[in-house]
Amino acid sequence: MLCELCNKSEAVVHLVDVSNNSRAEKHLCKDCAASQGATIKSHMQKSSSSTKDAGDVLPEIFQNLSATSGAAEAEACGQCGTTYRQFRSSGKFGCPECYVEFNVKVSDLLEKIHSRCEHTGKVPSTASDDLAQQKELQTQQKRLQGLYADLDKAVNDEDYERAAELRDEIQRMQEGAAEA
Amino acid sequence: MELSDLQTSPGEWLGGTGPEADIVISSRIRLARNLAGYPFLSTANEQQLGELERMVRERLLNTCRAEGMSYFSLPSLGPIDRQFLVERHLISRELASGKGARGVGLAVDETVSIMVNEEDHLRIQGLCSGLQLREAWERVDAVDTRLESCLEFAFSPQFGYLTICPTNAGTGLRASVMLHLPALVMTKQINKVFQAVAKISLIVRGLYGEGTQASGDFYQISNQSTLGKSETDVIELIENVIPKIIGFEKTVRTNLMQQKREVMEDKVWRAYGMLKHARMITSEETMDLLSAVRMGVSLGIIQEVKMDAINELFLFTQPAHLQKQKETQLDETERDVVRASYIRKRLQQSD
Repeated sequence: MLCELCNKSEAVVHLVDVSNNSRAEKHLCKDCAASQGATIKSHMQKSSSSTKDAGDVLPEIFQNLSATSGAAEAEACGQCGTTYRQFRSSGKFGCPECYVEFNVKVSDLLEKIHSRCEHTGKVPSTASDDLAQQKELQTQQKRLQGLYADLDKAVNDEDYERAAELRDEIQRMQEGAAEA
Repeated sequence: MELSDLQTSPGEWLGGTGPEADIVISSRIRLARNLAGYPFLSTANEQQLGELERMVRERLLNTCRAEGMSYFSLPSLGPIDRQFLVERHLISRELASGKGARGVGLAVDETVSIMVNEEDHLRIQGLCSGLQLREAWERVDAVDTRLESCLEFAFSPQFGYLTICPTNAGTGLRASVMLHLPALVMTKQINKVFQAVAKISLIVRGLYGEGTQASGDFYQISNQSTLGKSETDVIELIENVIPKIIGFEKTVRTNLMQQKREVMEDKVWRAYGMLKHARMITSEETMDLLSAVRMGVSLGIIQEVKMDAINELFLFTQPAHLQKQKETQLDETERDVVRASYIRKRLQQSD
């Protein structure tokens, strides 16, 4: 069967859209399916919440994630040599480093499997000190950014009293950070 | 501890002592962990697997003295012993049939087991009787925390604990509750449970986990997603839904007893009669009949047998348990004879 959109390549993605009591089928090639990304995504969310085992969901997700280019597929993990293509066909990473090496694609994939991609559970005690420090640093930076924005606004509004307060606060924070 | 020390008792989790034990058989938590600096099992070579097993085994025995931890290397166990551990839910079928250096650490009361080189480097499992997911989690969490003081686990702040398969990344936690739901199966309403739990991203599996058939009307409900929710959030999600399923099963049982009392009593007593008198019985038939009897005991139709005796029979009539009792390998027909004789003896004892 040829792709309905381009009529050139073999249709490999078969979408069935059931909405408003009507059923529409689409048969597309890999490239046209990728260009219709939104449709594919909504289809996948439905399928990942079905009664299937987690293990069964993966091949389906991979089948639908056909937008990756050949070059990206051949990309190999610098640590263990597993290529993204190998991972796709087996559903198994080669080593912990693969998560770092394939980071962007992994984020996407995890989001599709779990509907989220940020860990919120237990943290090993060995990692938790570093992590707490990192978080503290991030919050401080965010606060500092907020203060700078407020300062800009105060200056624009010609509220110099407030601007002076903010300037002092920023200074105090920066000194505190330098001491720490 | 020797494996044969286990065979005389059913393990604490099958004691039928936990909350809601007439419908909830057991609560299980398992954590997937991998060691930083080692390749996953998909790419590790024999030497790395051996090294990894030796190291984990040594640290495990050192840090889990409190649990009375024993370690069994799978290649050194015969097929009956491996199957014996699968039947007791202490190891997976995958670990039993796997290749290369692998093993299992077992706490003396069987409430904690740690599989080494299964799919991930470590699979820490906690098993409790009845609806006690939190207790199972506390046990597993304690062991995990002690292990992480001497083993560095692969962890990323963004993706959590890193696992070979991305479906387990994050907490690496699978929480499951095993339920006995004969009335919902009888009235063909079990599908409603499947549909309801699927809506909140939980999944239903058979007696021995992924890809297994429901046998003896036992079903496992567990979480699908492991990333983006904390361990206690996942446990809470399951804890909230289980009472509703229990309530559903109980309502259907009550209705059946009001509307079809004779049918129910007949089903239960026939099953009991078969078990008490059969001379040959397959594992499958045993599961079906025991399921009916178990429901009968729970409904008070049969009072001469205790629930824990029925729970034990579910386990002790499995092929490897029978062969360990007889201390010999038995073919299928021999097993059917031994099984029937064992059941007769046990049911007469409880008369």
